[in-house]
Amino acid sequence: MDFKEIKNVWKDSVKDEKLLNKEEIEAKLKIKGKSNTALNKVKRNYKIELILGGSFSVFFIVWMFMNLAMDYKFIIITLTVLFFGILISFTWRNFRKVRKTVISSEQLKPALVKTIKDIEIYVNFNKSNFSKFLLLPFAICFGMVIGLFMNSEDKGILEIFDSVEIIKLVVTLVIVSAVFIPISQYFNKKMYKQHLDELKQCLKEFENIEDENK
Amino acid sequence: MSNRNLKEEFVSQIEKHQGIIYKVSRMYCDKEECRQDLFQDILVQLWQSFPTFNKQSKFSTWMYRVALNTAIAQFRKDKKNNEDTMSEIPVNIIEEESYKEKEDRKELVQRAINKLSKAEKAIIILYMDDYTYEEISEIAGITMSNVGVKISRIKTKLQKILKELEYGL
Repeated sequence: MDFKEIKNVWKDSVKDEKLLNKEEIEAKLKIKGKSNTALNKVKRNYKIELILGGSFSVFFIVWMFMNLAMDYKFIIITLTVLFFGILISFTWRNFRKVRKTVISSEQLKPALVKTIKDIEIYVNFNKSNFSKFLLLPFAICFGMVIGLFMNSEDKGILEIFDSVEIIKLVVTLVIVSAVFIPISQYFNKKMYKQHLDELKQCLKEFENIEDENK
Repeated sequence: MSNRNLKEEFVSQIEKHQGIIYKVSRMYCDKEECRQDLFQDILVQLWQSFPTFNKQSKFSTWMYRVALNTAIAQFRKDKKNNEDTMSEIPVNIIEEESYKEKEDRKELVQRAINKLSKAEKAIIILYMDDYTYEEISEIAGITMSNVGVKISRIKTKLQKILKELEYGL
């Protein structure tokens, strides 16, 4: 088959499609389907993280306010507000970077560069040492410390954190981290890393087109 | 321009040029379900990007850019969507039942296209739709002198794949 023939066969196969009229196009525009593009997935994930994180933090703070012993209530609540505040503002900052990006009308090569950059911000944060070895263990540790305070009744701080409790806390932290860190990394890789590699490969191809002819 | 007028203009342009969305969906997906999803995604992306259309380029050129960007950036639910889903079927069966008997040259061409990379697909679809090297260069963001070389390579690759598929090499 020569190329002219390939072209004709290709054109013929597209002619079979049933064309839509104006009403059908308008109806399709009303369908709020989930976009399957990488950038929109990242935007959606940021929104989910913000909504869930925001709701959970409010719920958690109110719950602590109602349940914690008076002695430690304000210091623990202040720490919680700080923790969630930093986390949410970090997510919001990243979300703002990609929120208004409409890259899809740009030329293919520069659009790819931007898409890769935006997804990398998301993926790199999730796989960073900060997220793996600081944020996640800290969140786990924080939850457990709150639990200790919950059961503290009128104990003093040294009684709450006696050597047995500290050993329990460290062991639990190590075990839970050892389980959750690989799981979260696996899902992060499964969700984005593979796709990111595909996009990078595509960009490399566009770059190679330029290089090959030099 | 009011939102209503904007939408009317958009719908009218899409009605005229919707073939582009079909072509891109067919180029990047070989399964009907995937094609329909991609069609819908491209349509929504076009509508969202329409306010940024500055009329410096032709509507069809702009539309190709949005459609190809959407197709390239789409997540593949099924790894085999863009690959040769029929490559495991013995060639002789395809020749006897599908290719020869059912005159399925379209399918053969589609299978060959599926073997191209995303970047190659983007370039060859524009070439097959009679776009000039200058227009292809404008859409893809690569220099015009390199477009010709790349097209020639893709054409050769496509013919080679087709030959392999036809003769089971």
